[in-house]
Amino acid sequence: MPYQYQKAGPAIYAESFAIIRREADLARFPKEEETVAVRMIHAAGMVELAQHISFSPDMVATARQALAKGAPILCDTHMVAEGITKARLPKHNPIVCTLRTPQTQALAKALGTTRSAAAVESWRDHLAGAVVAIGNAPTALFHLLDMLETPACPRPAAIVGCPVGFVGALESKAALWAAQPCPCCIVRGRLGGSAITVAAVNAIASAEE
Amino acid sequence: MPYQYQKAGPAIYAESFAIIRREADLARFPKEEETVAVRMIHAAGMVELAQHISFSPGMVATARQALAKGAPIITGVAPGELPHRIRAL
Repeated sequence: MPYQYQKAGPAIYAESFAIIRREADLARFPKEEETVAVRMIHAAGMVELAQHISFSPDMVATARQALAKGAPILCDTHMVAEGITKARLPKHNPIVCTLRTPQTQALAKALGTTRSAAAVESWRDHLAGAVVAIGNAPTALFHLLDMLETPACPRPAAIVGCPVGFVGALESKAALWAAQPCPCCIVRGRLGGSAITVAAVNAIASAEE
Repeated sequence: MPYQYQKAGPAIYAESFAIIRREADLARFPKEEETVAVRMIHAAGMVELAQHISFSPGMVATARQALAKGAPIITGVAPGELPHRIRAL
């Protein structure tokens, strides 16, 4: 007797989103942010994530407009880059992850920092008007914030800043929220990760659920 | 004034794992399973994950032996992943 389970992709999504909307406290989110929060919760498998998610005003509209104009998506990990659903992107937007380039390795040594932070250094040429997705490394987010302290550094259009973990994650997201170098979305505290981050990007990429 | 934060990769891991071992209830895991649980908690950013993790007996040793013999790793498909990225068996 084979297992009985839902096999229709669209129905799985619809049921999931309905459960999330029934169980999660989403009342404080504006409409566009709500759909992004729902997809982040979907990726986390945890309705309690809702209380940790924050958006600056019009973050979703701003990031969506940037993507509509063809903005690149700069990712701190290949997990984020791979997770982006290409069909949801409005302009075949370039997806950039510089983590494994030879110069990143060398730069990490030279700067005395992590590979994740050094990878962000290589974003400079792509940064103007880009959508940044940091889902893993607090050091990547801190390095980006340090770069943006310099007024000459090009500004991204928006930042999804959701590094995860126990050392620096909470602090890096608090720093992003305090600095607000551009509209941003964070998951406060230790929670975050590539899956939640890419879910936010996929939700922002298309208004269609 | 630049931000002050831990920039040494190995130190970040070591501090993270130490925090997890201090805060998470890992007593019921055998030694090999404990290290796997710690890394899963590290990825989740949530020590409460521990109570939801279960291993069947000898799972980690068995899987590790399989990998040592060159076993392939078959994964679920990431949402955006394209068929051409999936290696044919």
